[in-house]
Parts: sequence; C-alpha cells; structure tokens
Amino acid sequence: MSAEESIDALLKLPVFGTPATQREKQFLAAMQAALTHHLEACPAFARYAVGRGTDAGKMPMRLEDFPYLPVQAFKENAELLRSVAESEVRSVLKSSATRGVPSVVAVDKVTAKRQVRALAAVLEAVFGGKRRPFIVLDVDPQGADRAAMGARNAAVRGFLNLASEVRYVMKADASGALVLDEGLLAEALAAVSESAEPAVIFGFTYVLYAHVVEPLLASGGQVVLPAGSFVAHIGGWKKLADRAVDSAKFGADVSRAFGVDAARIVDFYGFTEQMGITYPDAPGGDKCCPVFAEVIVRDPVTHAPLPDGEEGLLEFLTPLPHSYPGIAVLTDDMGVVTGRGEADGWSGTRFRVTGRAKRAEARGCGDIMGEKVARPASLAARVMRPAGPGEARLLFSGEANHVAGPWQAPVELADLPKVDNLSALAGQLREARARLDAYSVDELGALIGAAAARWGAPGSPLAALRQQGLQFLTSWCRSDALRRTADNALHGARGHLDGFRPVGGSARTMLLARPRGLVCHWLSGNVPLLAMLTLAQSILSRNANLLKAASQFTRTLPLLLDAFRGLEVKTPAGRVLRGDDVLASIAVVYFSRDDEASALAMSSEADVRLAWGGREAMESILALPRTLGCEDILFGPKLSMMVVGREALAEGRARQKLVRGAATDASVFDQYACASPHTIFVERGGEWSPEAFAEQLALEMEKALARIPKEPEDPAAAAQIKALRLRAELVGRVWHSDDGAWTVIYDETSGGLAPPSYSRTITVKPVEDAFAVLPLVSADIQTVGLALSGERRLEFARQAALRGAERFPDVGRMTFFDSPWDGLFPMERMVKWVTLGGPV
Amino acid sequence: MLNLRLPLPRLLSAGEVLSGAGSLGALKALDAARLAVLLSPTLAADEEQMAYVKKSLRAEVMTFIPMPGGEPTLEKLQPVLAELTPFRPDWIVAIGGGSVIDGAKLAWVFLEHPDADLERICRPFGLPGLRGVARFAAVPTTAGTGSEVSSSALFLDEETRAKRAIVSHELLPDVAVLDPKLTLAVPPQAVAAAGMDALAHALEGYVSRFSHPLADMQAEKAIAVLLDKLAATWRQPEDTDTRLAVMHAAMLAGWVQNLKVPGMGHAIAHQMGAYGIGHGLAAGAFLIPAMRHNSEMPQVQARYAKLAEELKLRDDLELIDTVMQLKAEIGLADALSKLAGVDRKQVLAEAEAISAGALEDICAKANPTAFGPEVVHRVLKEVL
Repeated sequence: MSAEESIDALLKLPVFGTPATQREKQFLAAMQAALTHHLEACPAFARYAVGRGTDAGKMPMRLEDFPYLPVQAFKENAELLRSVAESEVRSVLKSSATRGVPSVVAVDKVTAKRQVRALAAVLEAVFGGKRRPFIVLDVDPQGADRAAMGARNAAVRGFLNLASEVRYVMKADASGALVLDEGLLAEALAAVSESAEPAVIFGFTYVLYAHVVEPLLASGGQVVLPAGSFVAHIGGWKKLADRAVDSAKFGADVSRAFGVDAARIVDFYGFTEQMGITYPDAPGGDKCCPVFAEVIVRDPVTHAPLPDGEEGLLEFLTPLPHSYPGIAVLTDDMGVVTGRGEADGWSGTRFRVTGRAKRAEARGCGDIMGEKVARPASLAARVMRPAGPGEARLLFSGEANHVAGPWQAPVELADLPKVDNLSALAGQLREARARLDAYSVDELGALIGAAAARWGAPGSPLAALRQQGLQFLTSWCRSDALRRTADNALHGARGHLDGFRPVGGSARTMLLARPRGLVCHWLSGNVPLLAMLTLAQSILSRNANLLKAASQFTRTLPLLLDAFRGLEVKTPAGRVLRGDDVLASIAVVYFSRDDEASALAMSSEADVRLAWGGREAMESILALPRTLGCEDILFGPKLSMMVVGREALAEGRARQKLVRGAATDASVFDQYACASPHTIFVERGGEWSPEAFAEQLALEMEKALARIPKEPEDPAAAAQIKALRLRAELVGRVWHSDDGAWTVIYDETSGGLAPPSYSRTITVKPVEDAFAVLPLVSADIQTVGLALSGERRLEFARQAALRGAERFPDVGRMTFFDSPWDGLFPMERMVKWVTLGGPV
Repeated sequence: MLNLRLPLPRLLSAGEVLSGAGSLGALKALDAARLAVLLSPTLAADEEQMAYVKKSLRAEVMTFIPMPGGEPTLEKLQPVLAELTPFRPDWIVAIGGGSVIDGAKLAWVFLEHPDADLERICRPFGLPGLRGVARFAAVPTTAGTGSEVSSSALFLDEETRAKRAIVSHELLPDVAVLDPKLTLAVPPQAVAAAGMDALAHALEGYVSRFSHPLADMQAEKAIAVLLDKLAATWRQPEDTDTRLAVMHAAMLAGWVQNLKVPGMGHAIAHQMGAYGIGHGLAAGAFLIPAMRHNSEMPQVQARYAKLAEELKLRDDLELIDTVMQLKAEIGLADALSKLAGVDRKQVLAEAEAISAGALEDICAKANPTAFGPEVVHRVLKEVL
C-alpha cells in the first residue's frame, strides 16, 4: 500500500471509534509510509534520522522509535524542513508566537487536504454532522491583514468548514490589537437566540474569557444560547494561567455567561507544527487522540518514553504532514497520559496537558536581552520575598554579617533585621565615609589586597567558588593590580585621589578626583562575585557604598566583605590600616523587585547608581527618580561572540592554545557572563576547516570541565539542552558530553548569531570571510574574542567598534573583567574632577 | 619603555639629565604641587647648602626630610615614611650620595606600595609600576654611585646583614641633576671613595659577561676622564669644572654599571656594608684584585689590553698600575681595614659567610670568569 493509500485508509476510520488493535496496526503502517516519504524527500530530516539510527532500510517498529523533531526545529530551520519542491508549497503557516520566533511550516495541496479532512472528522465527532451558525471571536479575515493573522487564521478557517453561517465580532484597533465590537456581538447573539438553532461560539481561550465572558459577567449580563449550542475554544491556557484562571473557573464562568452545559464547552488542543490535528476534550474531561494521531510522554531530560501516568514532555505523532517532516514532534508542553482504550464510547489515547516546560524556548527570541541574565533557580539559593513595600532587610553592615554561613545556603529574610529607613542608613554611610579620608589610595589598595588574600585561603567559606571567578577576583583585587586600574582610569595617576596634582606638565592647573559620595549598587545574580569588581573601585575612590543584593548568590558579597572585619595591615611607615574603617561605610540590603518604596529611597539617595543586570532591571532603575548630578553606571545586558581568522588556524602550538582558550571562554561562569561567547565564527580557508575546529573544540570542552567544574543543570535547562542538541542535528554536527555539561554545535546552514542557550553550549559557524560577521555587530554586542592578525585584526576591530562592540580581547581571556568595561572606566565615573589654578 | 624579553643591548637612563653648576634650579620647572625633598643628613645640617637647595626648588608645598645616615635599611626608613606618607607628595627629590638616593627610591616604593612584599619586589623586575602617585628626581652630591641613572636600589637587610637590591627599570629617576655646587662640601675621602666606585663600575663592567658595545664606549670615556681628573678634583675640590667632568664620568660609569653590571670586586664589596665599610671604599679596594684575577682569562686580558691601547697605555699591566697609582694619589693606598677603621681579624673570621654572600651576588654572575670561595678568601686577605 502506498503512503497515500495508507493515510487515506486511516482518515476513513471512525475518528474516535476504531478498536485499538486495528487502529494501532494501521497507524504504524501509515507512519512508516510517511517516514519513508520524508526520508526520501527531505535531506535535512534524513541526515537527522540517520544520526539517530533510522534510515529507509531500518524502519522503526514502535512509535517511540520514530525520529522526532523538537518544535524549535520549526522556528529556526523551517527552510530545511520541506519534503516537497518549493513550487508545490501552497501556503506557509506561521504560529502566532506571543513570545519569540514563530514556527513556520510549508503546506502543500496534499497536506492541506488532509488537514481539512482530519479537522472535519474531529469536529463532526464533537459537534455532530449538522452545520451550525458560528459566532467567531476574531476579526473578519475579509479585509484584515492576513499575514498578521498567520496560523490563527488557518486554525479558525478550519473550524468554519462546519459552519452554516459565520459572524465575526472582533475588530482591530489602530494599533492592530483585537477589541470586541459589542454591537456586532449583540447582533450575532440576538440572531442565534431568535433562530433557536443550536450555535457554536468559537474563539481563542483567552479572548473568549477576557474580552467576552469576564466583561459580560462583570456587567451582570447573560446570554442564553439555544439548547444544544457549544462553546468551542482553542489556543491554550498560558495567558489565563498567568491571571490565575484555571479550567474549573473558566468552565463555571463560561457556563454562567452563555447558559451552556459544561459538557458542551469544548477545549481543542493543537499546535501549528501539526495543523489540522486537534484533540478535543473527551467526555471524561481529558483530551483524546483521534485515530490518525498518537501521543507519547517523554522524560524531559533523557527523552526516554515514560509509562502512562507519569508527567513529561508531550510528543505527538501523525502521518498527515506531507510537505514537511512534522510527523513526530516533541512539544514544549508537559503532560500525562491518563488512559487508553475505550471509555464513554470514545476510543483513543487520552492525555492531559499540565503546563509548559520551564524555559521552553531558547532565549534567542525577541526578548532575549531582557532575560539573558536570568539563571535557573536551582543553581543558586534564592531568597524569599519580603512581605510588602518598604520592607528592606539588612544583610551586612560594618557591625555584623547577618547572612554568615555557607555561601549557597538559603537566606531566610524574615530572620534578618528590617531597615526601617533606607535614607537614614544612607546618611550613616555617608558620615562613616569620612574614615576613608584618613587613608591614601595606596593604603586603601593595600587593605583590599589583604582582604582578597583571605578569600581563597584554606577554610574560607568562599573557597568553593575558586572556579567560579574567585581566583580571578583575588588576582584582580591584588593591590598592585588595583593601582594599575586606578591609574588607567584617572588620567594616568591615581594620585589625583589623594590631592590636587598638576596636569599637562605644568603646575599651573591641578586636578583633584573627589569621591562623589554614596554609590548605590544594584547587583545581578548571573555571576556570583561580580559586585566586588566595582565595589573595590568605589572603595578606592573613597565613596560610601549601599548595595542591593541579588536574589541569587545573595551571601557571596557579605562573605567577601567579611574578610575586612578585624583586618589590620601594618605599613612600613608604621601605620596600622584597619579593615573595619572600610566596612563602616558599606551596607548590603535586600528588597524585592516589587518593593518600589525601597527602590525609590535607594535611588533618591544615590550620588552614583551602579547596576548590573538585564534589560528589565535596567529599565526599572532608569525609571526611578534620582538627584541632580547623579551619575549612572549601567552594565546592561550584552551578547558576545568570537571570530577566528584563517591565519590563526595554522598548525602549531598557537592553534592548540587558541582552541583551548575558546573552550575556556565558553566554560567560565557556565556562559552566564555577558562576555561569554555563544557563537564562534571560523573563517574557511585555514589549515583547519571550521568543522575541524569545532571537533577540536569539543575535545577541549571536555578538558575544560576538569579545569572549570560545572554545577549540574536543573531539569528545565537539561531539557532545553537536549532539545537544542536534537535541533542541531538537523543543521550540522553536534558533539556533547554524555550529560548536559557541554555541547558544541557545528552549523553551516545559517549565518546569524546562535541564540544563547548558556550551560556551555557553543555554536561554531563557518564564514568565507571574517569581515562578513560585521553586520551582526551592534550596540548589543559587548565582546568579540578576536583571533585575527595584522591589518585584518586592526581593521575588523575598528569597524566592529564603530558598530558598537566594546571589547576585542584575545581568545581565552574574554571573560576577564577589564577596565574599561562596557566602554567606560567605572572608577572615572565614581569621582568628580575638581580643578585648582589655571586655566592655562 | 619597550617590554623586551631578549637581553639586547639598549640604553636606559633617567628620563632627563641636566648638568652644570646651578642646574639644580632647573627643578623649579617640576610640575609639583607637593614636593618632598629627601636629603642627606650632612646636607640638611649645612645651612648654606640648604639655602641653595631651597632657592633652587619650587612647589605649592615643600617638605624637607633628612634621610638616615649610612646604608639604608627598612628599619631606618620607617620615620622617613611616617613623614612622607601623610604628606602625599606628587614629586620626590632625592639629594645626596648613593645611599640617600637608594633610600629615597625605597621610600618611593613603599609610599606607592605600602603592602609590597619584600621577597617579591626583590625578584628581578618584580617591582610593580611606580608613578601613579609620585615621580622621582635624583640629585647626586657625590660623583660615583651612578644611582641617578640606575635601575636599582640597594639596601641592607637588618636580619641577614646582607646587601639586597630591588632591580627594576621603574626605579630609573624621571629627572637627574648633576650640579657640582652640591658636591663642594663633600669631604675628600668621600670624593676619592666615590670616584673609585665609579672607576670600578667602568673597569669591571667593561669585561662583564654581558655584551654592550655602546656601554663599552661609555666605559672607555669614563675611565679616561676618571684616570685623568679624579686626583685633580680630590686635590682641588673648589674647581667646579673638574668636579663636573668627574660627575659626568661617574654618570657614564653608572650607565655601564646599569647596562653591563660590574663583577667580582663589586660582589665582594657588597658584603662589606655589614661591617660598616663604605661601599665606595670597598669597591675601590677590591677592584685591582678583581682585574688581576679576571685577566688570567686570555679574553679578559685582551679586552683590558685593548682598553689600555685606547687610553694610550702600553698594556693591561700598565692599566692596572695606573689604577694603583691613582689610588695612592687620592689617599687610598692603605689596606681596607685601615682605611675603614675596622678590625681585620674580625672581618676575616667571617670569610666563609662573606664568600657565600659574594657568590650569590648578581655581580658575581656578571663576572667574566667563574670564581669560588678560595678566590674570595685570598682576595679578602690581600685587600684587608
């Protein structure tokens, strides 16, 4: 039997009434036929399948053995996933993608026809065979922007094949947003009420509830539909879940609003990548697979099939897609199989959708920048939120560390002293700042250096963070390194901090760098020890410091500061420098991001606002009021990459060092730093091909694991890595550790930046010429690790700098904190420049 | 300054060198707001000289800090640092002999790096950068040590009684001033000792293991001038022209010392500080035994013969004789113990320790021939 015949036979079976044995046999045959077609017609899919042990000569005999594609594959590699000639593509379906990149599938005549038949069969089983009037909660596609409607339009149109009459009751406002046209709705409801013919109210779940049901009930109204009417909805629950509306409340409210029995409120589950296949609520309330589809639940991390009743990722199989190889698709939805066989007259596997996998979509999407510094919760202890506004808690002050203990232990905010008045605390810090005036900049450097020497000492509670930046931080805070940093930032001479100092080779004009006063720091939780890099500079410039800790790695800064407590350094001049004098003007507090009162108080007190974090954090800080003359030092979200020229690939030790350095850059901080690369562009034409570079990089990533140990991933991240690896198999080659520790992807199909996936996932992309990478450089790019030489090195960096990139370190040193950082010398911004004498 | 790893011959010196009678006044042009003058105790006590110094300098604020006498030690520097640190200078001017300039360099180091680890900074070129806080001018009042153009600062380790050195090009002064007016009050024996130190820098450096043709030319000139004028300036201290010529020669010899490193004589002389023997006296005393010992090596003998030819002398033997004659002329013919007023037996009793120290000294490593403890013992007996 041909593929066409076997699928046709499947579509002719009773959709929810076919005995299991017959259904299983025919379904497997149709799937095999479909797989054979896609293996022959889609080279990318064939490569992927072969990589997973399936080819035309090795047909899977169990559904779980069919090679499945993650949904992300349809987002980024849609052009590869086509099993018919381009000329045969009739339409291209795009998912609505409320967030990020939409899925794209190419539909030909065969697929479209099957979709229509499949959908009609399901709807007929649910609504009965008779055509009914439909009230559609959407805009009339006639005259609407069809492209903007995307797959939504296709989904709606499919349902309307059973309609005897269609009335649209929404319109688009000037901004394109959907709004309910109350007049049209009243007209439509009146029409169906009058006719007494059972009708169907049909729309997207959120629109139905938020735009129709809720306002209707709020106004005390109710519409009674003719007996036998249905309310049908599609599109998913995510947005309603955000508003704490569950299916029970939804059902009760809809029933009340339309006078429809709960059994006649039907939710249809489906997704763009298998358009036409819809899974309605069966009488028991769970979704039911039609005869031409099946569901498998897989472990989110290992992707092994799970037994019925266990929750995991949902994979759906159907032989219907002809123009693209979406016959087995692993979704981001979590769910559970609740039953098989016949129940209440329905046969077919029943399942329940329980939610979305965490971080289901790679953050390469539209809002990547805002989220890029977020870190899985399980990787670091989170603090609880305080109860309400103005609820700042004191973590650390000159008197005590209230969060002493192991660095990763959770923090119980309720046990911490409350800060009744942040402004008063700021005032105390300003006053204590005067104690720093008794120290020269070099004496302050000596104190910081001595404290730094304690951080990694045996028995230090921070010793475990050696590989998470502590070693680097310790070396960066060595007094001679700090002095160099200060010299670089302050017109070549840190002595300006100690007094007026002539400039320009003449004593006519002198410059003094005076502290600005109080530096308020907003810390981020992506890199545990980051805060100290700027705090050290603020101490050197004799500012007081008020720091708002991050909700992750909350204890690390207080532990670092503890090293100053009781510290005494005797100088050759016979002076005793005391760490407690430094601590007196430092406090660390925590308040939740919802605590506007505390944020406002802190911002209003700041002479310098210094923040590390994502876009959302930056925008919220920028929106806070600040004093006139307050300086902002914002280290916002940035992306980084690496460019390797062919000249760097000549055989020798330098090449080995290069690839080792690349592995280091992709491993430090598990890639959560803004300077971590996610994509390495490797020029063709060198003694190593880009692919060979990727292969060597994989070897070095494994070795880097020994040098820079990694925290285990949480399940959500592990699942994402798994999905990424699957997707990557479509586009090239993948090397990875047995677990989720590291992944190297070689992708020659697309030239853009790979979306950051973190967790040591690095994509190598070949380029004909390094300069072809330049269009990807923008102000969002911070660091470009550069392995070019000569004129090309200088010119690439110049051009990339003009486009917005700020650092071009050598490969292997990308994540080393440097001054300047993000294009500025932080210390230079922490002082005010005062002149004496002159001008010349 | 180029960051070179190869030991290529290069000339590194103070940033600017000014010379001539009254040249101290050039320091009025320093872009100084807070100027700390670290000066020799003798000078500080000399009202006339102090008036000249004060008249020659200018800054928004100045402080004058007398340095301790004798070889610098960290302990002796503490009161200097206790005054210097809170003053927060942006320029340091050191005025004095080699010990004063070296001590001032150390004070500069600990001003900018109060937590400096001594072991680390004593490693060759282990000193972190200077000048983020203050810059440094050196004004020698003797013609001999070459400290004004040297990349090192020598001090006495109180604990081990050994001479130690911080070596780093960071220590090269930003400005050096050779003003003969400041040398007029220096006693004749000090003039002689310093002059012999300079001669030793040039003569020992001339045959060091390190090749540096430019420094060799400087050595030839320095030796010629010193042989010609040292005795004259010793006899007629008020002749500032001759004094300036000797200062120039001593600075040329200082360059040679800095670029080529002297040898065995200096290695042993460095050990004498522990016995209160001044460095110049010791360096002059061990010079001839070192030349003789090294001339046993044909290549060294040939080098000295060539030098003799340049100096219009018959051969290397006449060169050594000339040096001996000069020593006699300037009052340094006697045994070292007598000149320095120390107990010969007491020093010789510690020959083993002196020998061990000398063999570890950087100058021993620059000496053209290897030498062992027996050589040091023999030389000690001969010189003391």
